[in-house]
Amino acid sequence: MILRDIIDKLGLKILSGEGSLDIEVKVAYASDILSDVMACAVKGGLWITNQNHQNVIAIVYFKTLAGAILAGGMMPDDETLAKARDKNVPLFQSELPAFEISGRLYGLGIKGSA
Amino acid sequence: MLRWLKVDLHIHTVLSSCAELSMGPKDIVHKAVSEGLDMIAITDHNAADNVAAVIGAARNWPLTVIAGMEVSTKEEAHVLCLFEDVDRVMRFQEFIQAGLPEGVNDESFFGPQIICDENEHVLGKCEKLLAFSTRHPFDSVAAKARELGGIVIPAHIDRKSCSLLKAFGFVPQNAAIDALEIQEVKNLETLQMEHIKNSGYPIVTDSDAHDVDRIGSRYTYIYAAEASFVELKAALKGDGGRRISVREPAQEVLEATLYERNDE
Repeated sequence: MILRDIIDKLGLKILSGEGSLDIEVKVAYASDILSDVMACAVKGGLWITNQNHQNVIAIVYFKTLAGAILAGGMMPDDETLAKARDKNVPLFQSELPAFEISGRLYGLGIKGSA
Repeated sequence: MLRWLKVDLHIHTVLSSCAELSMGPKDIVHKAVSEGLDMIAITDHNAADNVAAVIGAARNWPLTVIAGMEVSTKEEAHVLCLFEDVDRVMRFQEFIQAGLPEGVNDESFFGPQIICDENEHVLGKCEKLLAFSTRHPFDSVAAKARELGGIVIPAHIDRKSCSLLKAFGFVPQNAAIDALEIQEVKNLETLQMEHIKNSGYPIVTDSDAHDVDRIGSRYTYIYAAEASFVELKAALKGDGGRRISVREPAQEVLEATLYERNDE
């Protein structure tokens, strides 16, 4: 599914990376252990997390993910948001808890692995 | 004879990509001395390559430099690990860096990770991804540090991210922890910190300096015989009247002086 449509259907708030929303997303990964995400998340996938510090941006950037969804109303601090905007890293936010976001993505046909 | 000493156990160098380029060994030492600090620890993120340089730069100054590292554990908790000498911290570095993710540091994203000598000559750059967390969980990191005779201090536990308290939701009791570091002493008055205060672990506060101006902004007082790793360890344990305080020990200084006079 096209990232822009996913954002619409889940009602995600776009915090940064507005220019990178027309790509197709097939997979997603949910984890708050950043080393686990570094090891397991798949290139081009979405990532659902409750973490909100600067390394979230670093991981999306390094792993070339489609973006990170901050769950449960988590907001990045100013530095993190500035870094995301500076590097044009897609960062989204939702009031829904991580479980709910994952379930809805799965319902849209997004899988856990390629 | 015991006396009060000022220590700052959390200072970064140019090896930490998030630190300013002003954080070379000489500048760190000069600022620490001018701020009246007796002892500092060098604690770069997941690396210790510049520890020897700062120790060298302090050779002719009244300043003790402790070999340390600020480890990012698997749980995203930052933990200060301090050692008696460079050899031990470098052995610890091998263990920590074996758990870092594969890949090369991207300077355009994180900034450079500079390794230098005591005269601030650039020796090279660390290419590892020091900005990420090691795969080792807190318990393994603490156990390894203890195995090497080290001191374990979860860093800035009053911060909203990268703190053991935030990662765990609580501070474990009877863990391999020698002290807890807080950023703001006034936070000890809040409800959550009240629980920390009662946990039984000693509390320290440090500058966490990433630029030279921050050195001296926060420090801990230790009541010990001299500025050394061994004395710090003893002060954290409370051995033989040694102790530590995050507040100006004016009253205690007075008491100690009277006590010593009575001894004579």
